Amino acid sequence: MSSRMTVPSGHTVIGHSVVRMSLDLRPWLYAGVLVCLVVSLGFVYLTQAGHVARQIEEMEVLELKLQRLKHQNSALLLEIAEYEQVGRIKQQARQLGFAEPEDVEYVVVHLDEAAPQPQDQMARANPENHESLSSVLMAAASPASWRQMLMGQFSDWMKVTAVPKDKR
Amino acid sequence: MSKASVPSQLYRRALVLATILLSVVVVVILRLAYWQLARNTPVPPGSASRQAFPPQRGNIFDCHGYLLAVATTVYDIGATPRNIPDKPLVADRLSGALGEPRDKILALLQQDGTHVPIKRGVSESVQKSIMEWGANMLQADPRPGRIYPEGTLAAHVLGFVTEDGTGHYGLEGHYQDPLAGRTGYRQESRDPLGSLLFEFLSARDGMDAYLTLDRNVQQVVEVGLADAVTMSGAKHGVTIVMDPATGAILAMASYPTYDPNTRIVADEQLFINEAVSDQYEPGSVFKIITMASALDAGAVAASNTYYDDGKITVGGRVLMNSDRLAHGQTSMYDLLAQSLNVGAAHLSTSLGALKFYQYLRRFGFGQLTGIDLEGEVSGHVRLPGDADWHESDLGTNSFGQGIAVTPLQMLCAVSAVANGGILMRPYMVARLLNGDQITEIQPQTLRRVVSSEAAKQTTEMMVYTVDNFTTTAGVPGYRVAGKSGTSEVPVPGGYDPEETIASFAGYVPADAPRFSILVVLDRPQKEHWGGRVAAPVFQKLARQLVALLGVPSTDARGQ
Repeated sequence: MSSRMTVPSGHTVIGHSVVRMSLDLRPWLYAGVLVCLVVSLGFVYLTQAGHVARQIEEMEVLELKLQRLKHQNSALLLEIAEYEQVGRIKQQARQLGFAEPEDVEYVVVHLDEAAPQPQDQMARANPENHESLSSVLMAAASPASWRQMLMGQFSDWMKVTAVPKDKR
Repeated sequence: MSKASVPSQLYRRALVLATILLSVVVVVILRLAYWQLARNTPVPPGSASRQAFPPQRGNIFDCHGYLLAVATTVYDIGATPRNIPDKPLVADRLSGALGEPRDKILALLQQDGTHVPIKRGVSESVQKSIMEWGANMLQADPRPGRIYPEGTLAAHVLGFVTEDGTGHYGLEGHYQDPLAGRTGYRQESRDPLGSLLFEFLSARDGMDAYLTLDRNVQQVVEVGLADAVTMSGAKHGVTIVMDPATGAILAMASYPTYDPNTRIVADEQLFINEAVSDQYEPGSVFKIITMASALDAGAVAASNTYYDDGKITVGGRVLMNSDRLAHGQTSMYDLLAQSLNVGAAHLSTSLGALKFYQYLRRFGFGQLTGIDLEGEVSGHVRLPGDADWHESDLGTNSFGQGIAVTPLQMLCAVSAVANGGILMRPYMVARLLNGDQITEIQPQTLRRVVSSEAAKQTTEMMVYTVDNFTTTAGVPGYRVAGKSGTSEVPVPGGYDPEETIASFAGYVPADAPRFSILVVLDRPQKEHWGGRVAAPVFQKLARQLVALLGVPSTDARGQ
């Protein structure tokens, strides 16, 4: 397309030709930019619309799920409430042989130091067992005392076996 | 193309391009403006593109967490008659499942039309059993429902919810907004350019309410009250149990009652909670208030006596004892124990009208207690200066005549004496749960009404009353403080000579009360006196409640 020729002004025609060519391409360039812009906007728009549609669909699914769960939850609550009904519990209790208390007696328990402790009371009730019961209770406190108690019993047994025959 | 026209052409093209770009920008700006402004325009409810999400109503629990009211889904069962080939057979099966008369259902099925309603508010399990065999002939439309699993228990306290989701009476009415929650919605629409828009507001479920009410105590009270009304032939009865130290209501019952699930009543007056919405003349129970006021003001001392000649004139009106007898020199203890009207009038006149009515206001008479239940009334106290007040009211009011109070006001005032002279605001809801957020409702002290000394002396007199006169209210092993009342029933032009309102108020144990009880029986027929008809009800309830609540006996407490 370009041709070299000399003009009186000294300019070369090549420059004019380039300018003309660029001027001819510009509308296409603008159109291309415009098309790109429109396509971009359209893409953004369609993406957004699709995103919204997907969100709505997802929300519908979640809403249904939520409703179903709430529904199940309330049905379970109702079932619990039916099982917990006063009348039902009373009826079941009666069937199991329970009866409503007609009289309640309160027993006074003194817990001050001066008062006899339950362990002492047990021992007093059966003095013969005092030592053994106490030792068993004490022994239950820790493994070390268990071991100590067993060792003591063993040494006592050894002492007994060591007694001469004539002294028995 | 001339050389001169090239820049101008370039300029024109640039201008066109700029115009197009500017147009795009303007469109974007307009669209943004639309989003910002037009989308906030309220959308008419019920439009086709609007989907509503109803919130789930909050549940109601007693103080131990037992359900008293449950939000659930119920179903309205309907049928398409033309799709039913064998109508008698379907009527048979529906009758069995729904518990409705066969003939009634058959008549409905024989109607013309595409849809006939059969029964509303059917439970999930019944709906499932019906749909298993009738899915192509019947419809089950779900809707939010309310079920009260304990039936009539605490019906007057709870109230009920109608099919439109509105709470009425009691707690359902008072706490309508917090219990109901907020409806959510999703609104779909398109903008002028056809773009899809949506607006979403999530539903907020109602709060769960935990009450101060103990369903076991309520059960005991309701059974006791029903027996008492039936046995005495009374028209109505009210019983309230309160913790005097906090104002927490442990039980509140009215009889006759109703089932809030069905709400089938002959008279809608039955829905009214008489404990807070009805007023009555309290009679001699009111002498507790008169005595405590007189002791607090120093008008009399507990050790004082007065001379009872059987009548006293106040404001020109002669007032007499109910037994029409003169009791001579009488102690304050005997005044209360023998329920002497002359003595009570002696106390109120010693106080003077100004002070007497000041005390009444301090005890909360003539004002709302502020309980969180719908439909509370304030009662009526005529005050000096009112057009209808007469000087003789000073005398009659002292023994609970000519004054209108609610049962709850009366119990609150007696509980103030039990609580060492401090009046508490009665309340029913202990906490509200909104998801993880808990709102605790604390006991609220209203004011000191009398000194602790005056309250203690009054309590001793009430114990003396139960120990020596109204023994039908005593509980073995416990010091019980109480006072009976028998009031006349006001009718136009005076009082009904035949009818009475029998009542008893008291608390156990007297020195450190765990509960206070008021029993009111309206127009009992077999016995008319509070000491004979209401006191035994108190006794029966108190005996059961000390066992139920684990209240140690006086001996066990070392008193």
